[in-house]
Amino acid sequence: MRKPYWNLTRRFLRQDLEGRFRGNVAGAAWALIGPVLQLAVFYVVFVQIFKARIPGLDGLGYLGFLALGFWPWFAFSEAVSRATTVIPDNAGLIGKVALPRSTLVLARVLGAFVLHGAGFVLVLAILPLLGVSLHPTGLPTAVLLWIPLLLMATGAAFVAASVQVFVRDFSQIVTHLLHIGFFMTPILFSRDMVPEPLQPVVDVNPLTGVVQGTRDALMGGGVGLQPLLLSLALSLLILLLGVAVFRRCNRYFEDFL
Amino acid sequence: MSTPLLKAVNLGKGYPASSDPRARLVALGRALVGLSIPRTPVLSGVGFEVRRGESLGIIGENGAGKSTLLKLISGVLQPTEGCVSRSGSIGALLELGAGFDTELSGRDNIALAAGLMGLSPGDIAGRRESIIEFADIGRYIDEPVKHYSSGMTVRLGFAVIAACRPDLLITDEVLAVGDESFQKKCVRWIEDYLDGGGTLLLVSHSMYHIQKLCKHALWLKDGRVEAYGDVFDVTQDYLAFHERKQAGGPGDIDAGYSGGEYRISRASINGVESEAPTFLREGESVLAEVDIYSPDGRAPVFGFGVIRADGTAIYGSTSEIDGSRSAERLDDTHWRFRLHLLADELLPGGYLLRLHAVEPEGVRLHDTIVRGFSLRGRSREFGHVRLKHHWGDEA
Repeated sequence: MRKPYWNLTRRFLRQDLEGRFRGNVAGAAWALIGPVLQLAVFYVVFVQIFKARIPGLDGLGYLGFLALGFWPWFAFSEAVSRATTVIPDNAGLIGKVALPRSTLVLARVLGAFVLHGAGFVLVLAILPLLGVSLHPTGLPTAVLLWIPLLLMATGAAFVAASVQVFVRDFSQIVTHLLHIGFFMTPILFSRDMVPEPLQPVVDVNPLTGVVQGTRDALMGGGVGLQPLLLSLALSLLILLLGVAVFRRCNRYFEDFL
Repeated sequence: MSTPLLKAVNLGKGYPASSDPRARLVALGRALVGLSIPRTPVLSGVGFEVRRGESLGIIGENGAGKSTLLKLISGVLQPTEGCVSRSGSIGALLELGAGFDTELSGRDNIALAAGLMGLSPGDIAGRRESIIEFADIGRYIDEPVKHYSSGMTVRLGFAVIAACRPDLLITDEVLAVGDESFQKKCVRWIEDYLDGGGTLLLVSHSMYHIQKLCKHALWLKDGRVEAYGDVFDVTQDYLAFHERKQAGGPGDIDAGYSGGEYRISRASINGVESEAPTFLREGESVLAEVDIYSPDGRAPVFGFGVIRADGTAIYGSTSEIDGSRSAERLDDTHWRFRLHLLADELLPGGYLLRLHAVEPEGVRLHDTIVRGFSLRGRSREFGHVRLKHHWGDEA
């Protein structure tokens, strides 16, 4: 796409990232402190208190299992929830300056992905130190899976941002939808633990493929090409839907801000 | 001729008729299936062209749709009808602090605002110092913009635009916020920019600035184009409109013929009998032909007065004062007067010509009608009439 478009997206992305840490004493260090703290909490709560286990995994193995599910989810859910209100949040800018509004949505999505992507990398570095064994051969797959994840998040973000302009309650609905989505995704549990009648609910969720794929790549026996392509196709579909909705609604934003 | 820098065709904009939550929901549905939503128009049928080097001034009362038009032109708003085509870069300085993040420092905001105008990070870095120098706000450049006064915000905003040097510069009254020296700096910059082939689209309530900087003008009234053309014609009509408005409406034909016996039975201005104002070019004169009814057949006196549309009297005289015997007897009771009024000492603007039927003794005024005329010209002198004057050692 055009260069000014990306320049602008990068500008908003920088603004978004700087805005999060501006005025904080620790600043950008929070991007590192956060994941470490999170991992520690998971360890204490799930491994020490609940003593939760997944068939075939020990306590530390479950910590790895959780981490590989949580970080893609963090990226996705934060991207969508932060993008939902991006148009009203920038009403002042939109009302005064001509700009492609999709850059604002993209910047928020990318902001979430940069932070949690960095968190994910950090977690991948910490886990082996704690004694969780990860297969290095699965690394490229695990990284590649973030592409469909990003496309899905972008598509969903476009839809949410569009609807929010018209329906101000939508951000509340998004919060609840993400809550439900969390439990529809095999993050705390594996797909096989889900009772037979409920399995379709987990299977229709496009995020399931990404989370399962990440785990299979790094902790299991590897991922076939087919589920990867399926994930990609599905995510492209979601992206196209999001773009279509955003295009249709875009010209009405100024009327309802 | 080259393609216009900016062309608007039948441009219109309406805002949603209703925006309660239900209407929004309906609008979302209609937007998704591609239907239009009910709207209240604020601007309609606006068309004009701006060619390179031919600046356009936009004038009009508050709420006439000027800001909406600027936003449509600059692409901030999407038109609901018609279209705008642009060729070349556009820089818009529309509102105070547009494109600034008030949490960021001035220095960071330069990058942000210039980025919004389409400059690449490399270009921005190259021009940063000249922007800071132009804005001239001292140590505040490293303070967050939220601590800025409105004047400083404008300085920074204008400095960014100046550095970008767009093909078309769109601006409104925001410059008025700056202090005297900065305003002068801006005007100097704009003049230099215009000399260098730049084009300006200016919204202003100062006819002085519009006439000084623009070649054409567009007068918006209630969301429609009231007049569009040469800057002097349009601004003078606009000022005349305001003067008439303040004076309480134009002088209609005076039906209140004040009970006297002498009255005007017919009047034409330059051969036209209608009540509509006459438009004159500079140097053209007025020929008023007036028939006066005289009940006893004696020659009546004809009087006239020129007043500014707001009621300021400029000059008046009568056939009796001038000792004119040129009245032509039409029949037993009607007399015809011909008055040639050389308007060349009048400055361009809107005027009213009052025509009076006066009794033969020249004392009592019996009837009055009023006709408007508008004098067009390119003069930038002030006042109503041109006084003879000379400079230096001329005799």
